[in-house]
Amino acid sequence: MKYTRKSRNAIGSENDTTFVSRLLGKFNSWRLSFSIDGQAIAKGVIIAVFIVLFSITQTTLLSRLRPFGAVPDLLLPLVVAVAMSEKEKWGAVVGLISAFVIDALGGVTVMLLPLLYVPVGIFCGLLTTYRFRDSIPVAALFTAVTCVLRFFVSFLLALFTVHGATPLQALLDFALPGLYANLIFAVFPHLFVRLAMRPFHKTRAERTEENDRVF
Amino acid sequence: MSGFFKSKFFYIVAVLTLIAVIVPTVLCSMGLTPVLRSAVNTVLMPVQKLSDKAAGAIEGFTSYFTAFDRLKEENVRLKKEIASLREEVAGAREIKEKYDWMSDFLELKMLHHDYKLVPAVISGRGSANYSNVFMLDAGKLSGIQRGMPVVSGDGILGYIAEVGPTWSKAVSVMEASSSVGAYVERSGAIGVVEAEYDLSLEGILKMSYLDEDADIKVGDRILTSGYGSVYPRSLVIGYVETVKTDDLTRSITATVRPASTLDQVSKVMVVTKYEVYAEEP
Repeated sequence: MKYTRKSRNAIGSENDTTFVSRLLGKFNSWRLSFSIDGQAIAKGVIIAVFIVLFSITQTTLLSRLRPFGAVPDLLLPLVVAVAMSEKEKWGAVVGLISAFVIDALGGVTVMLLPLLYVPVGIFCGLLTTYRFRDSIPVAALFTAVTCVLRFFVSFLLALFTVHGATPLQALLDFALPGLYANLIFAVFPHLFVRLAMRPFHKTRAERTEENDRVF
Repeated sequence: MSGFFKSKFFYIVAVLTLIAVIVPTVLCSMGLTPVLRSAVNTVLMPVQKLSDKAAGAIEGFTSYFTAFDRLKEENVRLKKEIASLREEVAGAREIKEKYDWMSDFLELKMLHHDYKLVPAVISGRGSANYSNVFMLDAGKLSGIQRGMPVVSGDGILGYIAEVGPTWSKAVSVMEASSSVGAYVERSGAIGVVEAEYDLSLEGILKMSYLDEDADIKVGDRILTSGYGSVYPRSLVIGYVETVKTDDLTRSITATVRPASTLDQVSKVMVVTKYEVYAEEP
């Protein structure tokens, strides 16, 4: 019996006729302007790993250590980092999934985080695409703004869900410590995402070379 | 930018976001668990559990550093608490001591209705290591006179040798010059308990002048006989430790361990008045 090696085609390429590629072709035909190809799947897997890693870290290690007296939110800066790196659509999807996962693992009963994470993902992505450049100062600015938004959400949640908490207690015991912790720990998701997504993006030298060729 | 908000993608995400907020919230408020949420938890639970164990170990290590301030505060608070408890214990000890003394006092008073007792505190002891003298904080003004016996709840201690208005000096039974008329409680055998220099170094008294056929055994309790001018009858002197018969004279001598010693007491009683009984032991 003679075995012959079959040639493999890239997922989503014209010659690819496997079940998965047909499924992806169908998805892409919905005209969501969100095509899924091999690179997108690789990115998705990496980001999914990050979501699991950070949500688990947040609900185990950091919830025990409680730096500054609060559990830092690692998934919000992750959403910002992904949105800046992969633009608004990825930001929206990652925001939705992250909010759902962290709400599920965190065991909260009032789930409001999708209302924060998804807009953050969308706006950070859109602003990076149309207004700002993907740079460290912009990332710091976006993170700071989202942490302040998270501060208000934490304040409101503490005020309405913690029995007997006064506005001052909600501010001093929950919201402010959360703000400090979020600002400090936001560095890690940004760092991880930037390092992991680097292979998928063209370097500055490559971009300059491409521009030179065009002109 | 506005094109994005008109896209099909945006509408789908917006709807999913609302579903992700409303459905689980409503179901949770009804006590139900959404399937997707349950699936997420089921899949991630083993990882979370493992991570939590690792986090526990890390927390144990880091708590040494992170909990330093808290532990420092706790240490200060506990030190204060210990000081306060020590004070309380000292107070309680003082009360117990007082209670014990009062109890002895009461016991002695119940045994000897005829005794008139004056309490006193030992305020000083002999300045020389060979001296068996001790000072009391009560004197003539309390009705104490020279020659009165000094006792504790356990037995006799000595007698008053010198008296001042508010103080008195007593000589212990261990003083070599003192002797006490005594008898064996069990058999009634009479003798004299006295202190000898060699024995007093060991804190032991000697009982002599016992009859040849005196019935005395180790462990017998020796009481004052009341003969003499100092001690009333039936006060405890001590317990027989050894009994020895002289081969030549056939006389019997015994060593007696005093029931009460100066180093065990701080409060004593002076018997200022007692009935003298005519009957013999």
